[in-house]
Amino acid sequence: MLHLFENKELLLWLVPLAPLFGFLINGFFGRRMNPTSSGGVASASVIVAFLAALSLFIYHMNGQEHDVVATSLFTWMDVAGLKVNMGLHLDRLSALYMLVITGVASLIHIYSVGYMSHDEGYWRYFAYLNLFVFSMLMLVLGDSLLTLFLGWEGVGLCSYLLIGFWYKHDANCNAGKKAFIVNRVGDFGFMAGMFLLFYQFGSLSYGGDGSLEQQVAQATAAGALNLPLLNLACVCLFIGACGKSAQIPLYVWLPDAMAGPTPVSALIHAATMVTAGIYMLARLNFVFVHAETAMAIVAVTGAITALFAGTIGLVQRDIKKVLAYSTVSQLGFMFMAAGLGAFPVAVFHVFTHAFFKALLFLGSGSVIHSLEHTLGHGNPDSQDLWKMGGLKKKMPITFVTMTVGSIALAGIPLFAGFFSKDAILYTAFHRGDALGMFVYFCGLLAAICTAFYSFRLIGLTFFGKWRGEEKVYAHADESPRSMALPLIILAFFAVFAGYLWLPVAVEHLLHVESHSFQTWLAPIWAQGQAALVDGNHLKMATEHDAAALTAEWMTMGISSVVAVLVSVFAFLFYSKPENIEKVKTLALGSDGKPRFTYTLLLNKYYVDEIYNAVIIKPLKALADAAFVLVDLVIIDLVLVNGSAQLVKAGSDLMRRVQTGVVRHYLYAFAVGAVVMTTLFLLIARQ
Amino acid sequence: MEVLFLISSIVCLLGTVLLLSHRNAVYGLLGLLVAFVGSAGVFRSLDAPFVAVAQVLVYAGALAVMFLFVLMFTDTRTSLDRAGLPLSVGARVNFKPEDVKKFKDEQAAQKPASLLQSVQLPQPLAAVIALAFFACLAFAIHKLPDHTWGSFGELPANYETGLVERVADGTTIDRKVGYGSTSAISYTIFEGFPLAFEVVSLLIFAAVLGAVLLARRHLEGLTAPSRPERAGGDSHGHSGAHH
Amino acid sequence: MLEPKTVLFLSALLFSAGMYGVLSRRNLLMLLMSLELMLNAVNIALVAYSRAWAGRQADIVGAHTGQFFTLMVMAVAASEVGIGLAIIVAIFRRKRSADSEVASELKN
Repeated sequence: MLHLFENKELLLWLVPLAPLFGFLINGFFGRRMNPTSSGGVASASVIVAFLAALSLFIYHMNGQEHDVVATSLFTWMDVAGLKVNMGLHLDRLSALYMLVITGVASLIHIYSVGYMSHDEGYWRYFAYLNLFVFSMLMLVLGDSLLTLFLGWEGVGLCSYLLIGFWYKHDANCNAGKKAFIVNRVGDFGFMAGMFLLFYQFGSLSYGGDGSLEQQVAQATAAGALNLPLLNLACVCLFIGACGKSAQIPLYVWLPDAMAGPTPVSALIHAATMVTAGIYMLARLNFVFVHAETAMAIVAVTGAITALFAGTIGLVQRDIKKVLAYSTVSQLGFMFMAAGLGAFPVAVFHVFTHAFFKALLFLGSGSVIHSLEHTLGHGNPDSQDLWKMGGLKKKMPITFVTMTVGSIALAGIPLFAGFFSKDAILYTAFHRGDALGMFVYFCGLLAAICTAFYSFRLIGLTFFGKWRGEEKVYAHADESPRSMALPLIILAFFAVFAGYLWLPVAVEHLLHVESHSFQTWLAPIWAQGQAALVDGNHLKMATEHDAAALTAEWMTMGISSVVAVLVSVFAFLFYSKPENIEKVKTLALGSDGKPRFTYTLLLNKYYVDEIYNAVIIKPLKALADAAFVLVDLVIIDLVLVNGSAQLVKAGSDLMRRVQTGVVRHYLYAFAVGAVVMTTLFLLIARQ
Repeated sequence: MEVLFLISSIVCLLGTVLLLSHRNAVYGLLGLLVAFVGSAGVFRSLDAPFVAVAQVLVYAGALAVMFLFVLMFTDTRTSLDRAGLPLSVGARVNFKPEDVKKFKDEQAAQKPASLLQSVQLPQPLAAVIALAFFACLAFAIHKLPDHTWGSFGELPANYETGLVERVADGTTIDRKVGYGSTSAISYTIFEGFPLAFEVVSLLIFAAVLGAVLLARRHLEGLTAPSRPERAGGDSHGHSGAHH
Repeated sequence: MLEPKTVLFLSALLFSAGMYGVLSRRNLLMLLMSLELMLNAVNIALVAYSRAWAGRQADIVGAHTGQFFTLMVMAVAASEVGIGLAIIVAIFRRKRSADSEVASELKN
């Protein structure tokens, strides 16, 4: 039995299929199962996937070579030049994602057992969650862009289902629809990008013969790259990534997606699904490196998004909205790095961000859960920062872990977020040109915002005086153990995940050669980074000269000092009860009305309203006009009823021929036979 | 051969005339039988003895008997139209008593039609169409080239089959068959067209099933539990299925 | 001397006669009988072709194809009569008549 697990292909298939199996069991039989077994099956299936992923990682991904596991189940389609297999492709990039997904998903499943315990849609929740894990694994493990797209759509569907999970409230359903429709815009871009790539290179698969990277390498060697078309393809793909990873202009769905259960926000809308866009860019890094313009667009979009979302996050009152905008902002950081060609850094930030952002969401879920005991489910007060305070005594574990998460997020030295964020900022700074500087300063400002809202959140939630109803505070309590355990594990990673890749300057100082994260992932980038170095676009800290080290120390110093100062300021300010009133007056102008900047930020720069006026209203008007003209007049009146009337008139005429008497048909038949024979004879005579 | 052909074709045509000219279905069936036997003679004259025998067995034997059975069930002598009352031997028991009485009165009033009495007047339109078709066919046959269709030609004495026969002393001789013999036909069926043969067996099987299903007595009760009302002369009751 | 054409004339005559019967009869039974006559006429033509072919070719299967076809037609005709008669019986049970014009529910 055990030797079966020596079979790495089987093990690989087990990873996505275990959650699928869990989904099928919960989907078909969940209604009749009791909550314990439903949650147990779901958690067990994901844990099995995690264990399979872990054993794959330990036994098959540690060698220097041959650590790609590829397996194909069947040919999905084979049309003209397009051959797509239903196959899995495990290399170091997908292995990393696989581990993060299954690991975080396992923790969140365990957490959900406690968090959702009182929900009537318990089995439905776990079925969706399992389906999500399956889709996400297909996304990262698929061996072609088309399989990736399959998972891409699958996670979109699950996201929609889980955002609108509490479907009895209109707002939740609308949030789900919004997420789905905004994602469709991105998906369109993704598909267009795929078509363009296929048009240029005739392949959509990666790894193996005739794969995309081989085609690109050949085209590059032959100098046959069509750069404008390649840029267009990359921009299209980036639009797809924008939709999924919530970048300007398609980020609007992610804050609304907080309507779903909090563990979902943690898993889908923070740790895994939203990083799919980065995964796609990282996966296609060998394509993107040739598209200079597209890369610049990626970097600038990422930088603007990071800053933009960071500023909105400063004033939000809803604890989950703060975290949501923080996620958008952090995704912006990742795109900055990707756009500057530093794909390893982007993936590193994905890796660290997954832990501390999942931790923060789960922590906020823990707070919400304990407040909902008294407030009742779905009460917006349970998420209002203004109505919290002083919870650190009531919920010590949540308090400690969330503080750790906030420190990591704020980028305070020695915690995970510091290393990855600093690597991004240093990449931008070290680049030296206008683009690099722009990105660097946007990033620095966004980092300040990050530090501020992280500690504003901690201060408002756990310190000061309780500002809500007294009885709520009296009943607030630490969450059950199944919820606390994931928090602790995630907090551990939020502290230590960053040590996998120390900055070069630090390594130099300590005389260590860790670099483990970068070295391990190096095969993934080999082709792309080589092209970048050739094209002289990449100036990463590969050179160990004194100037580079000084620059690195400098950026590190700037960002640490800034992060620490701002964090301390925000914390001190918001943890004092008397300052809360001051904040409220600060927000008001001299004339007693809210200040313009405050309202602007509070209303998220009115982007939703602008979209509504510019896109949705005209579309609706167009749809109404089209409904009257096309539907009512052309289709209903002319085409449907008109043709029906025509046919009816014709058939009224023609049906008199049908007498129902056999002999009449026979006569017609015989006359026809005579006529046909005569005609044949006439023709034959000639 | 010519003599046999002449006689049998005349028999065949006589039977046809009997079939076409009479209103009474029993005479018609008799005519059909005669025509079948006549065409069996034609087959024999064309060196197809097996087909001739099959013709007599299948057509003149089986089919005619089947027709006869159905004649027994349905009205045979006078096929009445929509307006008239049915005069069926098989279905009479289901009619209302007054219908039966009326039927008996009519029976008493008129004797069964004799051979000459049942002669039917020709139908002009059908005759014209049939004649036109015959004219077409005859013209086409007339136009056939004489060098291929002028004579039947000599038959070869034997056909090689490639089969051998073991005789008593252990030696083998080639098996040869004559034209139209049973061996030749069986060789044709099983060497030439085995698939068609099997498919036909399937067809007959389906036909048997279909016939049983269609003729089942309680068919109506099975398929149409709530039948819509029918208008006019059909309102005498739905008794046909209960005898 | 018997010619193929003569036999074909006989076949055409019987076929047209059967056609007349089919067209002129209202009794379903008679109609079916006339149909059988038409099939029989075709059989005669097929046997004639077979014999004419045999006079020119030495291939055993080819020489008997026409006769084999005749047997097939017989089998098909037997099936057809079986079904046809069953239909007539069913119609007669419903309509109490074997008139082809009573079964005209599909009118218009």
